Amino acid sequence: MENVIVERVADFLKQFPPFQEIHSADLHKIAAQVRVHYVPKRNFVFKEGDPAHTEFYVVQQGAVGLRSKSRSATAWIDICDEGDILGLRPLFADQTYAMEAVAREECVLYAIPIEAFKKVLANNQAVMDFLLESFASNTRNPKASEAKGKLLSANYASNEAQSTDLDFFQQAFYTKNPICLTAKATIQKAALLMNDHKISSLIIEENKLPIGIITDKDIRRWVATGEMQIADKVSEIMSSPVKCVPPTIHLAEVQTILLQHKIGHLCVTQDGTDQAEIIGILSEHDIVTAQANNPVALLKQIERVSKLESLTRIRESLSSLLEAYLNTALPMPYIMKVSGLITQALMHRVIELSEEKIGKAPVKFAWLGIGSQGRGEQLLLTDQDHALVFEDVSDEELETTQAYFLKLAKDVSRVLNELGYVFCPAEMMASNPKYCLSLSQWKSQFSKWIDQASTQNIMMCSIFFDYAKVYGEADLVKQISQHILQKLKGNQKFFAYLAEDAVKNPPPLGFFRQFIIEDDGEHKDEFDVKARAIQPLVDAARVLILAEGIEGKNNTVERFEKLIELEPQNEEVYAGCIKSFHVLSKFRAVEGFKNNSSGRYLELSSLSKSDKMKLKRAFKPIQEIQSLLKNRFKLSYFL
Amino acid sequence: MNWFKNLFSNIKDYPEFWQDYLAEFKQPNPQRVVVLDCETTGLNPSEDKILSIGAVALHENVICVEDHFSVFVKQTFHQAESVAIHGIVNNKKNKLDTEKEAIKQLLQCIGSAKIVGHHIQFDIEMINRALQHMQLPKLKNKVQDTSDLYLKYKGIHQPIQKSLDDLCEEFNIPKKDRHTALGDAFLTAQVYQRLVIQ
Repeated sequence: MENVIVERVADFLKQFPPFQEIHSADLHKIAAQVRVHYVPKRNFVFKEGDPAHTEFYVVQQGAVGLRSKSRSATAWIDICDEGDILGLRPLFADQTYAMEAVAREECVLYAIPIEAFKKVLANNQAVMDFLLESFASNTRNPKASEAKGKLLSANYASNEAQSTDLDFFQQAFYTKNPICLTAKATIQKAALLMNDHKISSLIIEENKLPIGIITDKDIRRWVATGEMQIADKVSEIMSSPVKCVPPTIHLAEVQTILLQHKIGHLCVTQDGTDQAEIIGILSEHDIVTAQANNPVALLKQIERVSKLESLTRIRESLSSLLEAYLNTALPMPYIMKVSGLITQALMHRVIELSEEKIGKAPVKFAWLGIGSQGRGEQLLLTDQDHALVFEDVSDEELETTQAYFLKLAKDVSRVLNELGYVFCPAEMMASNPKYCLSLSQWKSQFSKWIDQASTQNIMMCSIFFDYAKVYGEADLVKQISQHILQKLKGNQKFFAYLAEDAVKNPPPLGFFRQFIIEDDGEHKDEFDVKARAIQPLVDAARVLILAEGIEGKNNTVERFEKLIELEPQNEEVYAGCIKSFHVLSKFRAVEGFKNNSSGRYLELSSLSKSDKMKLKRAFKPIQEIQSLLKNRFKLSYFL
Repeated sequence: MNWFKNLFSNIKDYPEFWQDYLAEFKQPNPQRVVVLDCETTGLNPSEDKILSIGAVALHENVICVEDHFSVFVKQTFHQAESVAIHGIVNNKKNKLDTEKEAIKQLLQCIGSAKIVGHHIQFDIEMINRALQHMQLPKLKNKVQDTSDLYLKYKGIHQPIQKSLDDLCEEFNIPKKDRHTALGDAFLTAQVYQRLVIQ
């Protein structure tokens, strides 16, 4: 017979993770054993050091604050509201609570007996993973590093992500039993074989292990030019070693490898190394056929097109490609890499076309992307942010030289605007005479920003320190970098300013109704994910990498990766930052594509509980990195 | 002349379930409280009948979903208007018990626990009438009315009428499953928690 109480309890629970994952029959069994607690405001659910209860709690109504006396008697570690889980400790760890839980307002808690729940856990790994993460994200006890590790590595994929279009997770399909040849065979034999089978490449094997590869291109390059003879051995012209991948590789990974290594073929082996038996070959063509609008194809097209309409079409394809990627569970690092590479190529092509139109540059120059473009972190259409540096010229020539580059920059900027990258409202563009300077002028500009630390100048630094060459002479860029690093070396005062700026926006504690909602006019009831969460990570990575004196790392993730290498003792914090950065960037991009906006403001009411939890977890590393900054740069004297 | 009959009848004449019920009072568990609600065909105890009984227990003021009771009673007459409120009609999918069977199960559930309910005297009266039909004495349990508790909680001395709906609204308890016996018992239990836990 239907039991309305059990029904109600189950109905409530199933709105929230991990109960969503639990089979209805099991959920009803759990619901039938729930104990309903009423906790008046300011009463304790449990205290620090209390022996563990035999149950854990789900907040049904109200809000429970968690704090730890041993850390700070006043600061809340977390606030749990409707649907949040607390008191998981007895499920995983010691027999006493490490925190106290206090009702911040009157609460109704559904208590779930741990014994009853363990039975369900035993055959549901997804639920177990979720609880572990939930436990870890509520744990600020540094000793609980085991659980914390889970927070970083366990990639909790929600139900929706698993059931949606899995195209991009598909294993790349490769040609099995590829045609192979030994190294001793002649080039002619290879060519005939390729003709017979109408293929564009051959794997060169030795005892079934891949030792090289030859392609159409190699034959063109070496034989057709007369440098080699058709009677020469294939070993003379083959590319070696061969890049190998395992058969389980995703399409997306294949794309990234092909892009990164600028190659057209991959050999598939049992374990993905060249020390294992060949089982197949994967060509760029395989991928192209797998996906019409794929990054490789877009990149190829960019090199060929010259009309504005075609560039616009490619830019639009990029957006729809990214949007499709974001809707799948495709890992963010791939998405960001693909986006960065294509955006870069597109900009490069635009400048190249403008230079063709306006006439060759009188001296060497470099076009710099700055801000998020400089970091290669753009997913959405953003404002243009760029600058230009040209070789030093004599004083007499300076004006005309700058005039040329301003003209070039105006044209590039106009085209970018038509492509959808609107003009920068703050005019941080190469078409602005202030940011179209000779090498010496740039050097003195940076010196000025560094020497005269002010809020304004620190802001300029944080924008202009993230630059990357989009087009032109790498050497000019290198000289600027070296100048900056020299100016910064041992400049504790400047780093303190920069670090202070990086911690000015503390991360929100969590999601608690009005807690982190922005209260300024237009974006009321929304959360500024850029300023409150992404920017602090970007700023932290910048100041840390500059303080280490590392040149040429302009991307937030790469910066943290480098920092892990340099400071393995802080790996946990930095790895957490990388993960957070990806999660936050994804939220922003998804929001941006959905509303055709900058994605900067998240509408809280539209977020699901599991999204909120993901966001909340992403805030934790921000807290950690900021306290690391405060310690390292002795900010307590400043703040 | 029931009192007269009771006075002289030996306690052993009562059926076993009643003796079990009485035995519970020898070792009462003061931490257990049962919140109860009856759905009836009307509001007149002398004419109307019990359609269903729902109850849920609290142990140390925590509602234990597992410790609940629900029974639907087979009655020979139905009043149309009551069906409209409670949605209980004969031949519904719910298994129907005879009144006697229902009362027997109820006694098993409540044992010696204190009985709590909103305007509980009416429910007690209905149950006592049913017991009377079975030639059994009245309930022996302590009874507490949430509407009385509410007046005490508010420090009000003159009686005012507050419905369960009113209290749910005042205490911000989402009203679900109103007018099912078990649903109302669950709501009343939540009201009770707010009145006794401070």
